[in-house]
Amino acid sequence: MKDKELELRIRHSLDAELSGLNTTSWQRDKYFENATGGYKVKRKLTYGLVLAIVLLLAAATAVAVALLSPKEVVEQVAVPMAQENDLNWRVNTEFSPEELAEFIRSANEIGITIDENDAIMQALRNGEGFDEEETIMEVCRQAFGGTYSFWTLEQKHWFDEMMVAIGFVDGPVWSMPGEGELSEEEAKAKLIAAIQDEFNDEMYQADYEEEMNLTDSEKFRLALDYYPDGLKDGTVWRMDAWPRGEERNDYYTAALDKDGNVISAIARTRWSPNAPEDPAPEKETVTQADAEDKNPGNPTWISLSDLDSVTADNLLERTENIYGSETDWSCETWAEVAAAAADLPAKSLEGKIVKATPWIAWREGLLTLEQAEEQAFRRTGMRIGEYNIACLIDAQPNPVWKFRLMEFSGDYRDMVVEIDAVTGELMDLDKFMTQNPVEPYYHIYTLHRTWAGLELAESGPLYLARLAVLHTFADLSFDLPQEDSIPIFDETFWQPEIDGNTVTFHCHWSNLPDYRVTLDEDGIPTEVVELPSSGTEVLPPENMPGADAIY
Amino acid sequence: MEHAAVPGMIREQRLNEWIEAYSDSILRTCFLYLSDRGQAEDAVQDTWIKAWKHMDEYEKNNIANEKAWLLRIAVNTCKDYRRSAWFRHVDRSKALDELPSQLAAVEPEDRSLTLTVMELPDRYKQVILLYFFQGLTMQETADALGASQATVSRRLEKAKELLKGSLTGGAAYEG
Repeated sequence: MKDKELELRIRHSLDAELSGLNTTSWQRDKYFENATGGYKVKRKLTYGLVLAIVLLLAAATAVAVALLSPKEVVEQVAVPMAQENDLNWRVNTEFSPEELAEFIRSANEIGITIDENDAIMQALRNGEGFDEEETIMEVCRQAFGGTYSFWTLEQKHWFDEMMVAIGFVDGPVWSMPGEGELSEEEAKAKLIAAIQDEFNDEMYQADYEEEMNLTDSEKFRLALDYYPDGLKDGTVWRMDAWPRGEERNDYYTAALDKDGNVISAIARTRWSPNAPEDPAPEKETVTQADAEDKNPGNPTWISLSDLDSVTADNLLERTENIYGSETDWSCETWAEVAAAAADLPAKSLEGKIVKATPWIAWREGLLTLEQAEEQAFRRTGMRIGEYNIACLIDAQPNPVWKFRLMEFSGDYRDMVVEIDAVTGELMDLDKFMTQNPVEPYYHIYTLHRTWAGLELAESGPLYLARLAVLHTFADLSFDLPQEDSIPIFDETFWQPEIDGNTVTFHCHWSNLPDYRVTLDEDGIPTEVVELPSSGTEVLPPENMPGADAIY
Repeated sequence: MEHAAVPGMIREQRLNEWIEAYSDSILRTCFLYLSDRGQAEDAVQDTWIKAWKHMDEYEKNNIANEKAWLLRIAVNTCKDYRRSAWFRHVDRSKALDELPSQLAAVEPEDRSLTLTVMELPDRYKQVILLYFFQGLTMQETADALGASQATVSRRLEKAKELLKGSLTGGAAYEG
């Protein structure tokens, strides 16, 4: 699931769940009175009056749209309004109530209606504005008869241009095949073949009691994209094949390079029981009655992260979209990521880490993956397990194999280790609880010294010192429902005092210790010690931490 | 308290406008934080009292985003509420059932996701509420939480990871 999809899903769920939770006019009056000690002047306009004004304004400024196509309504009504409402220095992302009413009225005139329960219509009824992109998207969904993923390349490319026009993205990113390039149909055929070659096997046929046939539109829905590769020059074709049917949670993805060579064919698990629905194949009409939308709880299945320009910040996600999960990448793919990141800008810490990590391909003279894996398990004492991620990173004096190891026997153990790629020596061991919510997610694919150094530079020593306490002593979980699960992060439990790269945690409770952590210039702990408590109050025994060792 | 920089009438007008514009939004955020409607309504009241008392600070610091500033007050107010012993006994799933009828269609997945958000550890719930739900920018979220952008970014990544894990029943989400 991409971030934008998750964001939209969260916003939709919370908005829907809380849509009935509002303050009353009486409550707001009381809030004012209690805050100021006075009485406030009543509002002059009711929502009904606002709406009436909105509709009046809309009628007065209406564009004659009866003969326009849905795309022309977007181009001639929505986009100009979205452009005009931008301030000189900033892109305004919402239609005003008047603009929203105008756009919806224009859409209605050519037979496009939006569900009355949709948030857009609620906003309209309340005399409020609404997000420009979401509104245009919804009108297009109704017009094109399905969710974004299943629009044609041409429709996606056009939508992309509209988003460029209103300033939501910097430049068109979705591509259209040009002269001499693989055509849409050719690419589709190759992608179908790639998926079927890989997955139409005995296991699939036994599971589903039929052969995999992606060309059967009653069985599969196909989403096709064509966009720039994040790693290499050129463009990538990608197809997602979604089996129809609520009971299926599998889907399949394949990617081709611009010459039609298969890059990957991956089986994936969908994140939602409600997969996006595309229109029935024969439908091309534009009214809501004809538009198939069986998935109202998931109205915007948008791969908007793909619309972002490639940066070091999103390079891993983009690479994952083409090459599959990073846990399956080869050293060569990691090396390509490093090469691609070198010239890309980075804003986030993750982006900076990607730029700062020199992943390399394997070469003669280095331990092979199998040799390094054997060393990693042997030197950590882990026996029955597997690695979840493996990559090779250039370092001094020798390159380093980085592994995340998981042991499945006895106590479940999960470790991130660095192995000297020449000597097999254990260079770093980062032991952690899998479910520990404070672990930085990027520590599994970059050197400890790299992420810790950047963390230190970016945020100072506090976060790293807290991690060091957790790793050294315990998870310090308290029996306090709803409290932060790791109170070393809560200053009401341990008050941190920072002196250079040394952090002393003063405990509020006399029956728990203080801690002191000193970090080197790269953020690596050089000292992690318990000290007598400086607390004055006694924490009740039932609230004491479990104090289980990490492993 | 003197409010020389901001004449009384302007301050009152401003507070009045804020109450009209942001009370619902703050109420929902407080509810998600506290899992109790009554407590959330009290927290909203406290937020407005604090906002009124600190109007000078708002003016003096040239705060660009009033919503972010108000949400910061609201989140801190909720934090104080959360420290009370009473809070340990809240049943979050019942809290949702006690809400007024929804105006929008609520799917089972919506309920499940909302509960998951409510059950997140505080630091992750805060960023989800401010950044995703309230639509603040990364910088505004950081300002509202008194944290650095890097911290917010990190928490956001982890919160997304936790939510994705929850949405897929804990299974790997990229198969």
